[in-house]
Order: sequence, then structure tokens, then C-alpha cells
Amino acid sequence: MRLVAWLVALALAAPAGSQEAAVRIAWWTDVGFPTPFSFSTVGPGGVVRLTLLYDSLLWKDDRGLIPWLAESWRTSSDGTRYVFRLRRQVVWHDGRPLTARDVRFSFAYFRRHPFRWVDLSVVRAVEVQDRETVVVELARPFAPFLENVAGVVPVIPEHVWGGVEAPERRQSLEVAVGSGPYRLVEYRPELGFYRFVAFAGYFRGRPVVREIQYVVVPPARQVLAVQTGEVDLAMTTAPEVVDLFRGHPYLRVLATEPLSVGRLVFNLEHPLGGRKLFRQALAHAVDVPDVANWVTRGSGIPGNPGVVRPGDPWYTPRVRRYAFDPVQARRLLRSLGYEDRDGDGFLEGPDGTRLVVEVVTSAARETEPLLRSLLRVGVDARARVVDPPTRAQLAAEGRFLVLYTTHVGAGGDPDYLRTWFSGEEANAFAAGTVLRTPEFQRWARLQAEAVDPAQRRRAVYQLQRVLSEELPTLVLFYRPFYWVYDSRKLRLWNTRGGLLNGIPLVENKLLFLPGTR
Amino acid sequence: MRAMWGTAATRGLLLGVGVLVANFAVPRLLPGTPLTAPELAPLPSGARQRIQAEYLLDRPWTEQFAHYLRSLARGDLGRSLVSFRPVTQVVGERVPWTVLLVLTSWTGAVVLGALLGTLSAVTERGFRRRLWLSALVFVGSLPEFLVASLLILTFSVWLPLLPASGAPHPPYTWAQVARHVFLPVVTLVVSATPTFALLSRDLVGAVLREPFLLAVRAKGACSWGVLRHAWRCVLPTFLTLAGLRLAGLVTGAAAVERVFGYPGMGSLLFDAVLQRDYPVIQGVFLLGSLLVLTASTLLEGVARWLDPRVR
Repeated sequence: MRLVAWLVALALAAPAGSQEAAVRIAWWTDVGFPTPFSFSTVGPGGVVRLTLLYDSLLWKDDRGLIPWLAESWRTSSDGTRYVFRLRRQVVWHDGRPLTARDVRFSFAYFRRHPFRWVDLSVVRAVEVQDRETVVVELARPFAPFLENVAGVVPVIPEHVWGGVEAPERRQSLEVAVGSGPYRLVEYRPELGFYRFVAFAGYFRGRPVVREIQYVVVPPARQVLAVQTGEVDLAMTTAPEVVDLFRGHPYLRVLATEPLSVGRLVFNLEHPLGGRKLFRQALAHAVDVPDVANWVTRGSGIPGNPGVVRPGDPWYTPRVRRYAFDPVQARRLLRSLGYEDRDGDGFLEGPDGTRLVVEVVTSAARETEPLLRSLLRVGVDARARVVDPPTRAQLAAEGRFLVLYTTHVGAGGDPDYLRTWFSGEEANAFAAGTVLRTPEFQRWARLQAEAVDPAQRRRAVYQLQRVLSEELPTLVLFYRPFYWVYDSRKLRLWNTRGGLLNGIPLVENKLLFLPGTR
Repeated sequence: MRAMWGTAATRGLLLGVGVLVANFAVPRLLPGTPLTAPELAPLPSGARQRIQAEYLLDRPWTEQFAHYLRSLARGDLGRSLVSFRPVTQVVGERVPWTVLLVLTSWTGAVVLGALLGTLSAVTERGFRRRLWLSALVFVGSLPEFLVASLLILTFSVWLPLLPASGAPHPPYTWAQVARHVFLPVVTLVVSATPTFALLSRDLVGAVLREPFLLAVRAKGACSWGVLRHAWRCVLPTFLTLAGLRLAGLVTGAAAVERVFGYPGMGSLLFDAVLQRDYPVIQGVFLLGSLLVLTASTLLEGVARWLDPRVR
């Protein structure tokens, strides 16, 4: 019966209306209902879509942090107290005013019902001073607070969520109330289709793009979809699109900052992976520029043992380097007892067992040059190709020696140098084993809690030095994303350090607002 | 007749029990758990414990299975671990798309296969017949994703006539749905037709050699008349065997849905497996199995009804 009703509904569906002033954006999957409790955290698509619907205290443009819901703020000298002065004219989509109470409610509510994109445990209390002033008190100084918390956490309405005990189950248009530039008017999960309509009462003025639609297009055909006019904006990692659209009358390509990273994660709890000399030997054995060139087809930057990307404002060149040197790699492995004892070209341990390095990966092609490099020094390197959840499972249980992962987030505030190696990373693809050396712990804590910017910079530099020495990970490359877009409808630019916390996506809400298009 | 339907119902019931057990066990045999999958892995420990308790993920399999059966008896398939929406809703949204794809493809492949098979059966032995056979075997051995890619290259890239993605963007019309579903349907028809063609060729070929058709010919019936008699004879067997192929077509549809980004149950299952979303995997298996079982049972019934020896 339901099927018949559906087929009848299909037949009677209204013809496609005018799409004028609508921008259609391609993504490859549904990213969940856009509330802070039910959006998908696999990939950054979900959290970025939230930013059209909700606002945060601060925001970012092409030069960095800017005031947003908070028109000004000040920090206490010890870095544990932030006073935000809110704008007056901000209203929710249902017309009610947004006040300091809503900000307090948001942080309190996220304590019970976590906003999964960032860890908010550092927030001790939030107080309302008056209708427009809110004070956030931290449990300890936290240098990334402004960029990674105030600039990311969505403020939600108390009158909608107050008293709701299972917010992840509330998924109707009535609860998708934010203060952002767009209202959600349609969501079709089976099609991954979202329709956002400009909010006339937005405090920065009614957005100039009247409607934004997200549609699902398989990754391999996103560029084709822009070419055929099916969508106006799509993403690819293929650098060939730059040449493909050079001189095109209206299709343009924007390369983001190279915030996507590919790297090897070593299991520090493994008898072999836990040995620094082994990790350093592998760093010498891998021809990093060759791997970077192969995987990114010439568009990437070879990895830096200090983890931070060359060109990033936080980068320091004063880290330990590992030139591609098979002889040095063999020498280090020999010091661990591995040498070719039977002349078969492979290294064996003291008991005659061959040295086998299994690289857990979900991208077999990308690990090919890596395996070739290792084979050249006599390491019997093999790829173990598994799906992402199995990889996450093996990582969580420590059942691996070396793991290959790619993910975004290598930009923005450098606190990722701490979270990736301390077990506090929210992104499942960026989480690795915990580096427990006192020196790492010390600099990681210092950079996170430093109040003085110069002191923090020194700590971040020291942290990079320690990471290059200890090598809990070997970064292979940083690559950009390429956004192909219809320049008649959009003019793109890059958000400094990526959207939110290092996300190389381009749908910054500023693009759609008057005066900033 | 009653006994016939009774046998079919008993067999369906036994199959149903098997399906239930398999539905429950298969997701849990996959490596990993929902809590280590990318969607839930980043959750704080408190939230993880809440989910673990709510979905009984920390309880023995026997307890989980008992809970699954109790919920099922109430018609409750649970909630997705990823989207937190009821499974009936999540899967229900996809069913019409898969039914549309599979039934259209199956019907197209059955009709086309019957025609080609009959044509092959009446073709004289020799080079042309061998060519027919080789062509059918070749096309039938092509994997669905390859057929899909070739069709996309031809009809979406070189001759941009049809959309490359299977999902129309709302608001859409019936004609737009047809345009989007066309290439996925053709992919499945191309993949499934050779099986039906070879089947009908063998069945019709064998019947054409039967003495009773010699009698028909002797009575002066034209070629069409002879074939009509032949098909009357082979139709029950053909439909029964074609019904069995329905399950294979559903499996093939899953791959095709993935290639075209088509919003059917196959795409949903793929995503659910990646996230180890047990309730959704169970729901897709259950509804998919029920759909195939229902269709096969109905076809078998129709085939028996058509067969005068059983009727």
C-alpha cells in the first residue's frame, strides 16, 4: 500500500521549480540530520552543514578569527576566564531573541549530551552577567579555546532543547531552529538531499544566495556533475582539474590549503613499533617525496617529521630530518638485530625469523610506493587491506604494527599536535596510540595552557622537535582539495587554516552574505 | 491446490526462521563493533556506555537475540546506531526505490531473455547459433560495475543524454525519476538477460524436439503457433527458475546502486556495514529477504497454477 502511495506521489510530484538564485552543492553521502546531536561525524560534511543553520560565538574569514555572535571579548590574565559581549539584534529562526542564557544553556546541555566534534571538558562553568554578557570559565588555561571552542561550538536555543532528554532522536524541521543565515526546509535522508532557505531576519542581513541545496553525487562523478550543470560546486582530490578548466568561460577551480594529511601511525605499544630506532629506520627507508608524488599526483607537499606542514604559520624547520637512505635504514635495523642472514634479500631477526611489516590500510593503491621502499631495504612489507571500521577496530585494540591513514585537520590551531597523540582526538581517522614520554607530555601541556603567545610558540616548536625525534607518526604528504565551481553563482576563497578546526571545505557562510560575496 | 499452498507456506516459514537467525548473526560476525566504527568511536566514554547499555552491546549474544526476537514480535526493528532514526523508517524509505529498480529490471530481463532465447532455439545449428551462444555467455560474464561504467561513459560522458547518478534531486517529476533510473535498469537488464536467454533457449529447444510438437506441425500450424504451444509447456518451469534468479538480481542491484549512487537498499546496506550499524543491517537483510521470499513464493504459485499437470 505504501509502495503504491509512493509511486502515486512520484507521478504527481510537482515539476521542478525555478532554481534561480539557488546554489547546488555535491557531496557523496547523507550526513545526518543537521542538529548538534544527530549530524554524522564521519568526514567533515556534517559539521560544516551545521554552520549554515547555527552560529558560534566567533567565526573565521580569510584572515582568521572574527567576531560573530560575540561582538567583542576579553580574556583574564590567567587565561581561564573569557567574557563575551553578544550582539543585540540576533534572533532565532522562530523570531525569538538569542540571549546570554542560550549560550549558557548550550554549554550546560552539551555537557550532558555531547557535541561530538570537540571536547568541551575544559569548560568548567558558564555564567550570565546580563542579557548580552556571558562569562566562560575554564578548568585550566586553554590556548586553543577561541579557535577550537568559541569558533566551533554551535549555540542552540534553550526554548527548543530545554527538557529534551534524547536530543539525537528529535529530528524534525521544528527542532532545526538556529540563528544561522539559513533555515532547513527540506531533508530527504534516503537521497542525502538538504534544502536550506535564506533567513530574512539574519543579523548580517538576508543572504544573497536565496537557497542552498546539497545533493548526493558519487565521488567519481562530481566533476562531471559540475560540467553538466547538475551542481554548482563539487570537490575532488585530482589535481588534473586545474588544467582541465583553465580558460573555461565560467567554471573555475579553487585549491584549498593542503590540510588533508596522509601518514603512517606506529603502534607504540607493539614490541617493535615501541622501539624508536625501528621507527627511525623506517623513516629512512621510506622515500617520502616519491610516496607524496605518487599518491597526490604531484599536487602534495612531502611530509614533515615534525608533523606541521611547511608553510603553516606554526611550522618550524628545526626538527630532525630523515633523508631517504636505505643504507642508514639497514644500519639502524642491524643495530636492532635484523640483517640478511640467509642471503635471500630479506632481513631476519636473531632467531632467523623474517622481519615482516604489515601495513594496515584501507587504500591499497596509496601504499604501493611505500611497500616498494621498504622492500628495497629488505623489509618484507605487506599491505593488509581492510575497510575503515576494521582499521579503526584494529587501531582501538592495538592490533597493528603500522597503520596508514588519511584525514583532514592538519591546520588551524596547532593543538592537534597534542590531541592526535594523547588519546583525545575526536576524529577516528586521526586517533593513534598514545605517546607517553615525559618530554612530549610536558610540551603538549605547556602549549595547550600557555597564556603568553610567544611562550606558546616556543612550546609548539619544541613539540614538533620532540615528535620528529620520537616519530609516533611518519607524515607522508599534505594535499589540497580542489573545488570546481560555477563562477557565475559563486566566488570562492579559502578560510584561513580551514573552516572550524582545519577543515579544507569552502562553504564558509560569509560567501553567501551581502557585502562579502 | 490447498496442499500445494500449504507446502509452500511451510517451506517459507522454515526459510523465515533461517533468515532471522542469519540476519542476527551475520552483522555480529563482521570484525569490529559499532562502537569502534568511525561514527561512534569518537564519542565520550559516558555516551558510549549509554549506547552500549541501550543496544545491549555488552550483553551475551543469546540475550541480544532474545531481545531482537521480542522486539520483532512487536514489529519494532530498533533504531539506527548512526542516524538514531527508527529502522523501519530508514529502510522503508529505500524499499520503493529498490522495488522499482529490481522489478523493472527483472521484468525487462525476463521478456528480453525469453525473446532472445527463443530466437536462438529456432536458429539453425551452425556458426550463427554458436555466435549467439558466445555473445550471450560473454555479456553474461561481465560484472555489473563494468557494464555500469561503460554505460555511464557512453550515455553520460560521450553522448551526454542521461544523468550519471541514480538519484533525482527534489523536486522531481516521474519523467525525471525514469531518466535517472534508466541506466541502472539497463545495467541490470544487460547483466541478467543472458541467464534468462540461455534458460529459455534450453527449455524451448528441448520442447521443440518433443513428438507432440511434430504433431502440431503436421496439423499445419505456423511457426508462431508451434512456439505458442512450446511456451505454454515451458512457461511454468521458466517462471520458477526466473523467480529463483530474483535473489541474484537483488544482490546485483546492490552493486549497481553503489556505482550510480542510487538510493536503494543496497546503498543503505553498504553504508550500514561500514558503520557496523547492526539494527539497519538486520533490517535490510530482513526486509530484503522477505521481499525476495514473497516474490519467489508468488511466482512459484503462479507457475504451479499455469501448469495443468499440477493444477
